[in-house]
Amino acid sequence: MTFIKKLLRPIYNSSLAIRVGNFTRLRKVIFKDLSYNYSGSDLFFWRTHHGFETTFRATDIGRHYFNKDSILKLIFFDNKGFEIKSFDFNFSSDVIEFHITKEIMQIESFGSFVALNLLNENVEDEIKITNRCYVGYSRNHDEPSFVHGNVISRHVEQNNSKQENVNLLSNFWSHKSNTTYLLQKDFKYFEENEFVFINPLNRNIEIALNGCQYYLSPMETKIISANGDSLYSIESNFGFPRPLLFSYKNNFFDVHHG
Amino acid sequence: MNYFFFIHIDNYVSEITLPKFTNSGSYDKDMKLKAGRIIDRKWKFYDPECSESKDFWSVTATEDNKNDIFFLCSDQQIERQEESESLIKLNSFTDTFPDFRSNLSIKNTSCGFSSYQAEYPFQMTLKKGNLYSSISSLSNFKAKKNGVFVRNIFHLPIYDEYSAFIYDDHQKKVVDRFTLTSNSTNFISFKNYDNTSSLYLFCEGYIGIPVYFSESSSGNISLEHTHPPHENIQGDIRHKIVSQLKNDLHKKITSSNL
Repeated sequence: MTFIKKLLRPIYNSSLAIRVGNFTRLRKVIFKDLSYNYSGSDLFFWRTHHGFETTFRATDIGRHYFNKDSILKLIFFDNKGFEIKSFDFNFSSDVIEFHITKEIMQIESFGSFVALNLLNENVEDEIKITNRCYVGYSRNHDEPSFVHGNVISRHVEQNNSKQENVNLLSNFWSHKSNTTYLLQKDFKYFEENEFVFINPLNRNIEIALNGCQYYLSPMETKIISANGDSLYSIESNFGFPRPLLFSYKNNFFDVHHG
Repeated sequence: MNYFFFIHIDNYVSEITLPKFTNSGSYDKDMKLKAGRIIDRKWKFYDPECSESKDFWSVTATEDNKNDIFFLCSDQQIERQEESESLIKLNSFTDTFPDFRSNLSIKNTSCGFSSYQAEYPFQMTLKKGNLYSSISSLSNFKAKKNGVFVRNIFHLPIYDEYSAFIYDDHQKKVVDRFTLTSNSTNFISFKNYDNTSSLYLFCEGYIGIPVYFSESSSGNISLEHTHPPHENIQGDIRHKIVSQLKNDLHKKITSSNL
């Protein structure tokens, strides 16, 4: 069965098959499988403005699942999508914790970052890592509220991982797909809500939040503040426009995926 | 089909809010909120006391309903369910991509709050197995309160005891053991453990959802679940790799002296 699936993968992964499947709704493709070894990552949201700090935790997937040594590479982008910093860590323990502060980032702002588990050796076996990780947000040095990764977004081919400047690819979502997404949350209880969108694609995307149109260039992060409505709908030409949500009330906040 | 549940601890207020619509925006006027409770080794179903608006149902946890399950179905479907001794799949209204989102929230007396998506897929209720989760990925060891809720829903109406272990992979030993109950929300406190990056939760016999909880001294709450281990990798053999991972930990626990 596995052999047949491998044999057929190039066919059902072709852009024509995806387009036909999505158009007919016989086989809706949102997340595209890839045939080669890779390390994939969500585009995680970091923020160091408005008193926030961000805590990031990643597991040593290489060691834990495949008994292979790897490093963790974090690449940070500003809110316009330009790379601003990167850090490499050796896994000295099962879980690495990294504090993203305004001192570390040298800026009070927000943006996105990827976390790549890069193996220290080339491998023949199938190794596809999608480290979903956990990100915590805290204000005024309080304990963080955690949320898991949102959307697997970028990846590098695993066997090219030694290169200094990794070539981030976005093939998971490269196809076009128009989506309407009604957030299943009653927003009326909160004083303010922030909708965080990150564009994982190499093309511009459009997002309409309750009819208000926004445009995001590749890798751009946008925070949209909104209150007053009970329900919020999102229309987009990106297939998975699920935002990260911050909801505020009585000096506390909640963070989760939409 | 999905079930929804409470978490409950001390004097916190726990509430679930269920949307009447899917995330693509469709409503089904036949869908009603129902609840199930185990009484004398039989599932008993009832219409839960709730507050209702045009778009949402909300139910608050009480001492009586804290382990009950909640779900959406029509009057005809609940009749079918009542004729069955075990839980059965009644509809696919909540089978969506992205996952159907209810809002399971917890609030403290300081007005701190947090929420979690809290859907329990029907397919999971049919399975027995072992639960594996990295404690170090989501715990806040500096928090005033720190622990994990473990929720199991099993299709048969039984309260069965099973074991949960805290395993330190660095020290290679079981540091604690607990007895949990099936078809219940259980809570394990981490107050007795030091912050290490190598703590794992392993439950033997029943699967479930681990929801990590912490509360800071200022009242800020964090609530989030760990990803199922197979989400950290892709590929044709990922379930085989995860199965091996669980078996290895099971062997380590079995050979550990506690």
